[in-house]
Formats: sequence, C-alpha cells, structure tokens
Amino acid sequence: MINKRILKKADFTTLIIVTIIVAVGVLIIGSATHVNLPDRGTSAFIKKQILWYLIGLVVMSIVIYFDYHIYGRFANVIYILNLAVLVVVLVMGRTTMGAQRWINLGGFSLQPSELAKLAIIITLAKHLENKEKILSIKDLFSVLLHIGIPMLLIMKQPDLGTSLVLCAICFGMIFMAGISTKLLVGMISGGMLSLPILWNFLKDYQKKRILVFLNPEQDPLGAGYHVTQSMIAIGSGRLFGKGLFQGTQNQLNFLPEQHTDFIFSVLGEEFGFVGGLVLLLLYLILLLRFVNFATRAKDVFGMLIIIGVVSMFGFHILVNIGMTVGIMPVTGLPLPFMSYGGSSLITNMMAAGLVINVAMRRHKILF
Amino acid sequence: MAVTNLVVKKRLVFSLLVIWLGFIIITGRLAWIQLVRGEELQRMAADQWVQEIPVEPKRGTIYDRNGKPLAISASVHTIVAYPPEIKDPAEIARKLSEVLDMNYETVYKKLTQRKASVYIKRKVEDEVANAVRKLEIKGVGFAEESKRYYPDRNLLSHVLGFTGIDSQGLDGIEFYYDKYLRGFPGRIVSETDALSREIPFGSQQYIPPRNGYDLVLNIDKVIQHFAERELEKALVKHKAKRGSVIVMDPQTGEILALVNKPDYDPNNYAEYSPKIWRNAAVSDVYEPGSTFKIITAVAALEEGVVKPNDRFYDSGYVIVSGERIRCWKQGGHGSQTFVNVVENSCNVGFVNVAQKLGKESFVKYIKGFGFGKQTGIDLPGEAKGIFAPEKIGPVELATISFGQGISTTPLQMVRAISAIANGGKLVKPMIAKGLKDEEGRVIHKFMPRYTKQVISQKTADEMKQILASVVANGTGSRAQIKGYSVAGKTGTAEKYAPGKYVASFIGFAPVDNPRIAMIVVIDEPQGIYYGGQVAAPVFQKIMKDALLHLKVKPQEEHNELPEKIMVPKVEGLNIQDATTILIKNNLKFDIKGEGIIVEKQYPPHGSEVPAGAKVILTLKNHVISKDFVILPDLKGKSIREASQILHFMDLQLEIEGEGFAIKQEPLPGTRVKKGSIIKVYFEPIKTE
Repeated sequence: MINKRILKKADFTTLIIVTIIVAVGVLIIGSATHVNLPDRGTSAFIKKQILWYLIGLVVMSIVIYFDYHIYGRFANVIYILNLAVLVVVLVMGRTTMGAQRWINLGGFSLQPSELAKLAIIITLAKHLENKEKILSIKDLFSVLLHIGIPMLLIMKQPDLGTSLVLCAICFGMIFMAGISTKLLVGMISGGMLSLPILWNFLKDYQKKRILVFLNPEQDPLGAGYHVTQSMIAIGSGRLFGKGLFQGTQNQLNFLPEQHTDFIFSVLGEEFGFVGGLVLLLLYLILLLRFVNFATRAKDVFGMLIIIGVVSMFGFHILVNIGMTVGIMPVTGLPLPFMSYGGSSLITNMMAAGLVINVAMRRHKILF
Repeated sequence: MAVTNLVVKKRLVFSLLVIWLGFIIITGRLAWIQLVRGEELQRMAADQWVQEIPVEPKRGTIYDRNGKPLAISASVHTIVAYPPEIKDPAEIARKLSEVLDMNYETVYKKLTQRKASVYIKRKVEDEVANAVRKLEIKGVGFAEESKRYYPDRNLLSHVLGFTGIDSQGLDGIEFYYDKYLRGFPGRIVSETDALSREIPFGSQQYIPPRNGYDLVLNIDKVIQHFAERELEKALVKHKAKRGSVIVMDPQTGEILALVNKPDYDPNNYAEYSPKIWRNAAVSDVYEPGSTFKIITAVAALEEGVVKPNDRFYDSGYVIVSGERIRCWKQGGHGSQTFVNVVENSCNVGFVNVAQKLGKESFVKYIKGFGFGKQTGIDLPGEAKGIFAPEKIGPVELATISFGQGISTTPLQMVRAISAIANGGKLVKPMIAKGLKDEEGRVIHKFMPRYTKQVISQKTADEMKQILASVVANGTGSRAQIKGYSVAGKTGTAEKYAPGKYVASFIGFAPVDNPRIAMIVVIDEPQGIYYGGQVAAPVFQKIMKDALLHLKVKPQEEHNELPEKIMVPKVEGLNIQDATTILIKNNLKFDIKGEGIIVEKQYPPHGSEVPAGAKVILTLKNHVISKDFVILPDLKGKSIREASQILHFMDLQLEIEGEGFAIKQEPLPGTRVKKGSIIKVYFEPIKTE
C-alpha cells in the first residue's frame, strides 16, 4: 500500500511551514503565560504544546502512511463512529465554560468536535465523489442531510464556532464538486432567509456576542471587553511591536484568553504589523500551496479532501484573526497551529497530513 | 469524471480569489489599526496602566446632639513611591524597609512595579513620616490621608459603625451616611509615557479634595452613657448572654441612646468577631412576649370590643382549637377586669381579648404599628421581623395576643410604645439630626416624620393610664420612679431552647407628657428571668437618670405615690387573694399559722400605714382534729375557687347555679366531718 518511491514525494515544505508557525506559536504562548516571570508565569503551557506537536508528528505520519482511498473505503464506518462519539459527548461530556465539548480519556481531555471536522471532510468527499453533478434539490438534500446531523449535535454542545466551520467546509466542497449555479444561488438565498429563524436557536451569550460585534461601544467592559482590549493591544504594537515579553497589555493581563483564542493579539502587540504580516504570509503560502495540490489531485475524492481542509483552515484563520482586529464576532475558534491546545493542534496536523497524503499519490493529473 | 474540467477550473480560480481577498482585507485592517490608529491605541494602552494617586478628603466629624464629638478624623501621612524615578531600588528598599518596619522583599517589589506611583505604607504616625523625610530619597514622597478615631472607644459602637483603610464607611452610621461624610477625593495625576517610562516630577497635577460634611446625631451622649452603664451592670448581675437598650423621644422618633452589649471598639474593629459588630437592637428579632400584649390591648380598646372595666375570667387555661393554652400563673387569675388582665399580664385574658377582636382587626393593628416592616431607621441592615398574616389560624391568633409566634426587633417595639406615648402617631426612628459644613453651617436637617395616626388620641390616653397602673399596681412595679409617673409593661418570653428566656421591659415617662420611651431587652439571664425583675430595674435606673438629665420636673405632690396607705380588709379571704390585694396596695405581708383562710390581720383594716409596711396575717387553722374541720365562708368565691378551698380541706362541693357564691350549707363556722358534701349556691354577677 505504500512504497518508498511515493514516500519520497511527500511534501516537506508543508511540514516546514507548519513547524515554523507552531514554533512562533510556542514563543507567543510563552509570552502569554508569562514564562519570563518566574513568580507569576508558568512554563507548563509551552512544554505541553511542544508535546502535542511531537504527538502530532506521529499521528500525521500515520495519516500519511495509509493511502487516502483506504479512508474512503471506511467512510461509512467513520461517519457512524463520529456520530457516536458526538452523542457520547452530549451525554457525558465534561463542561468547560458552559459548553459540553470535552470527553475525558484517562487524564487527557479530547475535544471530539475537532476530529469531527476531519471525519466530515473525508466522508463528505466520498459522498460527493459518488454523486453525479449536484443538479437537483434531491442531491443537495442528501448532502445537507449528511452534514446536518453531525452539525446539529455539535450545535447542541453548544459549539457555534465549529458548526460554522462545518458550514464553510460543506460550502467549499459542494462548490468545488460542481453544484449547479442555480442551486448554489438558491442555497445561499435560502440560508439568508433562514437566518432570523436560526437567531432564535442561539444561546443568549451567542446573541450578545453578535450584537456586540455589530455595535462594540454598546458594552466596552462586558462582552465588548475582549475585542476592545485585543484592538488596543494590537494597535499599540504599531509597526515593529514592543518586543517579545514587552507587551504591556499582554504582560499586565489586560488581554483575555491570550494563549488560546486571542494569541494573535499578543503577536500583534509584541511583533507589530511586520510580525502579523509575516504570519499571514505563512498562512497564505500554505493555503495557496494546498489549492495547487488540489488542482493536481488524482481524483475528485482527493481534490475534495484538500478543498475541505483549505476551507477549514481558511475559515479558522480569517475568523480568528478577524475577531482579534474587530471585524468578526467573537466565536472562540482557535488559530490553526498557533493557539494553545492539544485537540486543535493534532487535528490540524492530521489535516495537513491528509493533504500531503493526497498530494504525494497523484499519478494522474486532473487537467 | 462527472464534473467538467472547465467548471472546476473556473471555480478554483474563484476560490483563490476569495482566499486572496480574505487575506487582503485582514492585512488592510491590521494596517489600519496598527499604522493609522496606532498612536491613539497606544495612548489607550498607556492609560490603562498609568495610575492616579487619589487624595483623600477629610472625613466629616460625627457629633452628638449637644455637639460632643463621637468620631473624628485626623491627618496622617502615607508614603508613596514613583517607581520610574527610583534609580537604585535595592538600596532604597533596604533603607525604607528598616524605617517602616516592613519586609524588604515587599518594599522592593513595590518599588519595581511598572506603575507611575505606588503606596509603600499607608497612614503612618508622624515620627515615622519624619524619619522617611530625613532619608531624602528621590522618587519617594508623601500623600496626606485621614485616619478615623473614635475617642469614646466602645461607646455607641453599634450606631457609629466603623471605617476601612480608604476611610470608607463599612458599618453603622459611617456606612449609612458615607456619601455625606466622605466628601469628594482630589487626586495627583502623573503623566506618563508607555515606552520611555520616564515621569518628570514637575508634571504632576494636583486637584484638591472637597471635605466631607459633619454629621450631628440625635443621640445624647450622656443618656447613652447611662444606658451603657446600667445594661452592662445588669448583664453582669444576671450573667446574661447579651442585651439591648433603645431610648427614644416618643414625640419625634429621635433616638437618644442605643446600646447592645457585648460591644466593640471601632478603633480596632478587626480584632472583634463580626458577630459582635451586629446591631442586635435593629438587625435581630426576638419574640416580644408579654410586651406585645400592649398591641392586643390597644387594638381591642380602639375597636371598642372591650372597656377597661369589662370582666374576664381566667381559670388557668383556655382551649383553642383543641390546644390547651395556659396562663403563666398556675391556677389562673380568676375573675378580673380588663385593667387587671393587663396588670396581671394574664395570657388567658388576652386570648379572650384577641378572640373578641378577631383575626382581621388584630392583623390590621399589628400592621398599623409597623410590625413585619422595616421602620426605616437610618442604619444599615434593619430586620423586618417575622409576621405572616396569611398563616394566622385560631391558635396563632391566641398566641400572638400574648406575644408568641411573632418576632419583632426591639426597635419596632419601642416605636410601637412611642405611638401610645405620643397620642397615636407612628414615628420614624432617626439617628441623625442634620448635616453641617466645615464652617459649622447647618446645610441639612433630617426632619421627624410621622407615617400615620394608628390609634386615636382617646385610646392612646386610655392605654397610657392602664400601662401606668401596670407599673403602679401590677407586674411592672420595679419600674416606679419616685416623683414621676411611669407607664410600662414587662415581658418574659421562653426561647425555643427550653430554660432560656428573654426578659424585657418597655415603657415611657412621664405618663402625662412623655419625654422618653425605652425598651430594655436582656437575653438569657441566668437564675431569675422575669422581665419585671431583670429588665424593669434597668429601665427604672436609666429612666430616672435620663429624666433628671433632661431636667424633667417631678410631678406635683398629689400625683406622687401616696405616703400613707389605707390598709384594706383581707380577713376572711383566702391567702392568695389576700396577698394579691396587699401587693397591689404597695404593702408587704408576713404569714403566721397554717391554713388557707385569713383569720386575722394586723394592723386592722382602715388604719393608715406608710407604703411598703408589713401586714401580719394569721391564718385560720380549720383542722380541729384528725377528722373534723371548721367550714370557711365561701361567699363571693367563684366555682373554681370554692372547689379549690374545699378540696384543700378534704371536703366535697355540690354546685347549685353558676357565677359566684352567695350562700352555703352548712353555714360558715360549722364543724363538719372531713369528706362531707357542702352545698354552695352560685349566682352570676352583673358587670357594671
């Protein structure tokens, strides 16, 4: 199922870019957890993040090792297993910050909604590969059903951010699977029209975040506090930043969640516009590279997997950074490879592994 | 491949455009925030960690009604450091820690904080401040702050409360009137720059504070002192757990004194348990017991369901909805007028009164007197009391009539008695009289407030006379003050823990023009626990001293207690009635012989003796041999009394009719065998 010839084609550039971003992330996590101040800070977070990265490398290698078509063959099993795990989370998940997102696996908490994203990418790619063109409402309905069930389970946790990521993944993949323009337009307008209905299903804090996003001055010390503080931190970094460990907003803890969701704010404060731009470029290179792989995938299944991953990363990056600079609502989506967190880092490395997997097994060129 | 390459290619291009667009928007936004708005946001960041040093205003002084200071503020120095100016923090920390008697590490940490200014030590004494001044350290300065002193220490502690390190009122009047006392802080603003962290010393800006207003209380320090002294003595004497006294001007609601013991020294409040900070007279509830009978009585008088001379009969208990409710006196008080019922504090009588009154009227008056609601006194943490009209059934109606099954604060009780004293007006109790500014000008007066007329002037006057006779003739005799007429009522409530009691006394004086209303509550006295014996003497002493202090003139001669007393006739009565009558007439007695009927008295009736003189009672020995007794005269006795007497003599009673005995067979004085049947004829007595 694998030979050395193929393994040699594995894309190491992707791995290097990922590693650079993780390294920058570890540095910033260090600053955010005050590793420079022995009495207030802790080195526990960076140590753990490095450990996650090493575990990620192993898992990534395993993902790369098996031909991605094997994952396709087990699509039904993956799909059902994924649903089962999501149900388990709802039933017995541990609650953090008011949402049931975690299950405990012997001293280590797993966030199954992270892995769910990969499961959806693989199974949806398989589902779409088997379809003729999506031309009828019926086709579209079967796709929406496919993604709708896991999405509802995740929304129930409630994890609005991840549900939206699933939407983005689904949208990107349907789009590239060649949905007819008519249906696409219909779907978008349908989505728009159902927004007011969906609004009623949101929890109060979710509604509040969106309202505050639309009008940040409404509540500068409450729900708007995060965004206001983030913008002050980033803005005060100006062109070159205040230097590592020198960000006053970070060091004096004005920034909230500075090692997870608002890690970009620390980067912006301490490394300035230049630092932010470098990180954005790294992400851009990664995504453009992935899209390039997609055009050259062996088959539609492979191409759709890459598109799914690109949609996922793209959405995470734009929404997370957009949130820190105040042009997106606060959703709690982590910044890929940067934010502190095991489930997220390992899942993202597995996703990168999937892309490498598809890319190195291209014999046939799509066009 | 189902999808045409062309469509896929177009859409890939479109996807790439979307990705580029997203990144360009983010980059643009980043440039906007960091490059265009950078300076502004940098300033906002700096604002967040630049500190202003507040300059405390001088807190207002608290005075008593006669201008005697109760709480004063004095200036003290606070040592401030400006970390950016500190050149050698280690050396300076060493010097400062020595002089200020502080930990070196703590000082060093403060000196190296990333702040424009930081307190090193607050509110130090003058000599310490001078020692620091001598060190002449650049970057270390002084701020003036004020420190609160309570010159009389424990006196009035529960009313005054105390203040915290920032001179903020934390309890009592200090807390309640904090906004007036505190004033507005000024501040020293230090300009700073987030990057260079240099602060030019000269660029500090000083905005002066506006000092707090002085507060004048209604409290009279002298009366407060009397109250504290007497309560303290009583607690020691009776080994009681705690106690409270409230002295109020019944006409205006002005609180003249308020004490709880044990108390604390507000100068060092932190050394006491927060339990002791509690102002029990206002914040804690208790079962008022018999003192609450005043409310029952006054409600019944106002509604016209009883008149002072209506007769009531107490057989020792009354049965309400199958529950047997006992009078405190074993065997009961027998036949008595309404005035006697109040004088004797007869539970059964009050149950009858409440039953005549009915639930609705009774509840109306309880509410009218403000029970179950806060009085609105200007002190924090006032309790409402526990009174739930919806839960009142026949049994509760009966028990509330004598003050059980309802909880009130001492403050609510003293307000209720004041309403009787002042002719029926419910007053709002007030601690504070007014505010003065620094120049001593009165800038605000807290006026007395009457919420409403709860009972008519006539009923109030009637009740005043009844309460006066409770003190003159009844259970409240120990509250009598020579030269003044005193009205009041005793209370003794058993707590839910058996054997523990609350003894209280409530009342006012002088009866005709009440100047002072007072409640005394003694919680868990050991040994004697009756309100009349434990609380009434405290009331009497405070009242006496307070009346003299207020220069209230003693009443005219004819209003005084009579010097000479006419000895009443008690011959032929049973011993119980005889002694009751003597006590009522302010006479003492000695008993000679055995038996239950008084055969002889000395001095004889009609002779004049000084108050408190002894009357010697010789009892008739009815038992003339082992089997024979001499029959007593039962005329005027009730059925129960007659039955009791005969039972005592091993005789049997045959009842004819009902009411009170008019004749008997065989006649009085007849020698009869023990166990004989005595026929007694009874007839009801018409009241009035």
